[in-house]
Amino acid sequence: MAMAGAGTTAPNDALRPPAFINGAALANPALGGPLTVSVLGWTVLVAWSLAAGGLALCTTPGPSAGFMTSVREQLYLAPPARQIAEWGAMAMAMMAPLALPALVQLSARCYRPLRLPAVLMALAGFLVVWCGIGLPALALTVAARAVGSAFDAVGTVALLAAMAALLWCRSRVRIRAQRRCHVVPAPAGSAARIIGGSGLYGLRLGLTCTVICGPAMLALSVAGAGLPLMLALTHILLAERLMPSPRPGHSALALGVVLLTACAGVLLAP
Amino acid sequence: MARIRRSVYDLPAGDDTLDWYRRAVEVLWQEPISRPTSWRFMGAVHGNPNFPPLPDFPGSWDQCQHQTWFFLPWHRGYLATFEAAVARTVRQLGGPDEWALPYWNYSEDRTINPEARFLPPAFREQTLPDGTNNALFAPRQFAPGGDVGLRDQDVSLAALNEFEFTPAFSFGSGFGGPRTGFSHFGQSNGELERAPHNVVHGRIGGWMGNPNTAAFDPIFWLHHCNIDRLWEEWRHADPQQHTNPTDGLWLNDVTFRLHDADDRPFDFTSADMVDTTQVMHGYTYDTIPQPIVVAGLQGGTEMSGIPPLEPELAGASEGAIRLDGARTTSRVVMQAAKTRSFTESALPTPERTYLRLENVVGKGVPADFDVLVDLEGDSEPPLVVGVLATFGIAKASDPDAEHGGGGLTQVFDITGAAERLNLTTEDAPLLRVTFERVEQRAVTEATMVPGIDPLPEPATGEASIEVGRIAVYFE
Repeated sequence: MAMAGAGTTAPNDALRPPAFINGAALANPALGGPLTVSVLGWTVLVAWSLAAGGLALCTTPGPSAGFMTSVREQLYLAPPARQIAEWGAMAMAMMAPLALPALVQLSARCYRPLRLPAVLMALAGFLVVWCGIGLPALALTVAARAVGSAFDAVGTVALLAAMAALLWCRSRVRIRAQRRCHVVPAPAGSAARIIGGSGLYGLRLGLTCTVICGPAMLALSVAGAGLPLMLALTHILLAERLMPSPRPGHSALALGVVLLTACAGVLLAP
Repeated sequence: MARIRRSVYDLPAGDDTLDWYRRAVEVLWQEPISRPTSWRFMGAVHGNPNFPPLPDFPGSWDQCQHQTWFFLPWHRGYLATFEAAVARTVRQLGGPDEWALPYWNYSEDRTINPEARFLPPAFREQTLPDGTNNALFAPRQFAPGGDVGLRDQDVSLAALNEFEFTPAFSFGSGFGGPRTGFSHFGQSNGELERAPHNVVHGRIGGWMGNPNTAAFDPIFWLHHCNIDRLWEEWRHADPQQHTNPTDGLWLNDVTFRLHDADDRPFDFTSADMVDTTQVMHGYTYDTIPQPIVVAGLQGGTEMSGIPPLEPELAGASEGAIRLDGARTTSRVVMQAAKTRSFTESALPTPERTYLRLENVVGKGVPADFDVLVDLEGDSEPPLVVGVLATFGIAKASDPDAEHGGGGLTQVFDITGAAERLNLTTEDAPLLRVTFERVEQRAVTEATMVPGIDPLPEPATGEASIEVGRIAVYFE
């Protein structure tokens, strides 16, 4: 049992099935849409990983003669197009489930015939944002790795990125963004307005979600963590989203385990 | 022995329960705010008007649970600690050992008690017959003869007809509130919280109308004592169906911290609040029957054997509606043909119809509104379906608050009205929804205890209110 002056929830509570997952709701496109997208994303990631002997996002460069040399090496080994494609698949796999609670509520607020298009538009908007930040996120990742590579301190840079992501967990900006995730619009007007409004809502939800999860994703990317750690991070972020009252300390602890494991992988690599 | 809480209107002639209460209030007002059982500290636990924070008590203020799963158990613990603090003070003043908080049963049948809707006499006047200050008076809306304007629909006990403590779906009402974590202010409230709880707060107004000042008014405690009694009444009315949540999250996983009569921390969970005879010193109500033990009762919140159906949107307004002026009317375009109920032969007609006011946001302390429905072009008078209570709307609309500013959502069961208006037919017409502002009276200023600084003014600003969407759901 957890305790605090202002009330707390136990972390294992997040492992319970959320209240909205029941027989009647399973047929809901709000559940089916994000889950299908997520499964598709994981399938692509696993397939690429098996076919190419590992994902480009999951490899860290060795020591290099300099910053630009390392950048060139990284882009030679994994062309930008491939890295962006991998980022897109990663966003689908890891982030689509995070939209689930909001989409379930949005769906329940729509007329039955409009549920599927409204949910798909919102999901599309959500993923557009995540894919859209792929380019700057990858640029940052390549730059951070190049700095580490140039100074023969890839592990240290990964560790710094992890620490920054953990500090971010307790920041007021992130907590505010988490609170804004609760706001679900009440779609009104014609079918076109409802569907268009759902797309805009998806964009807003995606932006909020990048504020919450972006730094952890970036830290994982800098450390070049593999699929098991991606899966673990997805689980933690999803659990945090489903908890009725998320606690920043618990999130930081769980994320710390994942990110430090990823850093250990880099530091201990031969 | 458990204390017995009695109806304030049934206290026998010559009973001194309220005299001791008044004297204790005077003493507690004079305690320093740094003492957890002082009047100002206990009031700020519910909502802080604008006191500077006390570094020794982080997280102790602004705790009240509204529009949450914990509205009832948190307030039960809050009442118990308050009762213990007052009882201790009464004892120190030479009063009885077993002082218990009375309750104000404003819903009582007026043929039995014509005064039931009026403030109890001890709370009405600013001064006592001897000309001294009455510590039971507080800034409230002008209430001649104790008439705060409570009407029968304001104190309706329709909430007691709810089967479930927690709604099966996220947009139902339920009796006790939606599944949430610790939350100072959320979005949807349980039926008991909506009415009579919220409505009575708004109607009394003044301090009671604002969550940040409400608990500083001595009538607040008699009001919440009645809400606590109604929780007991609901549970005892049908022990098989009316059960508290059995989910571990509700029972054990959220712990609250208040302070006992000796100013020591008092930690409790909802599980600690289920049996009133075990809550701190223990108490019962004069009109609540003894608990009935039901063999084999498994708990749970669903009606036995009947899985709940997901309510489905059947009509909605074209957009947001700003409630300006005394009367605002909007239309709901019914789209009954688009609902499952009319496309699946197994479900020919909806069993229940709900009017849902979604994303109601606002600032300041706006008035409450009567909600009426009728058909466009219909010559029949509109039907009153409930009161849009705005208690706590500013907190629920704050983007930095627990739920990101989503505002309030209120649900009214309009099944009877829908049948009369033929809303459930395939060629359903336009529904007209009217909001009529409930009269707000001027607030009477008051000096609680001479020599004590007045409460700092909470920042409220100009009042405004907007309903994000009016929606009709079939179930």
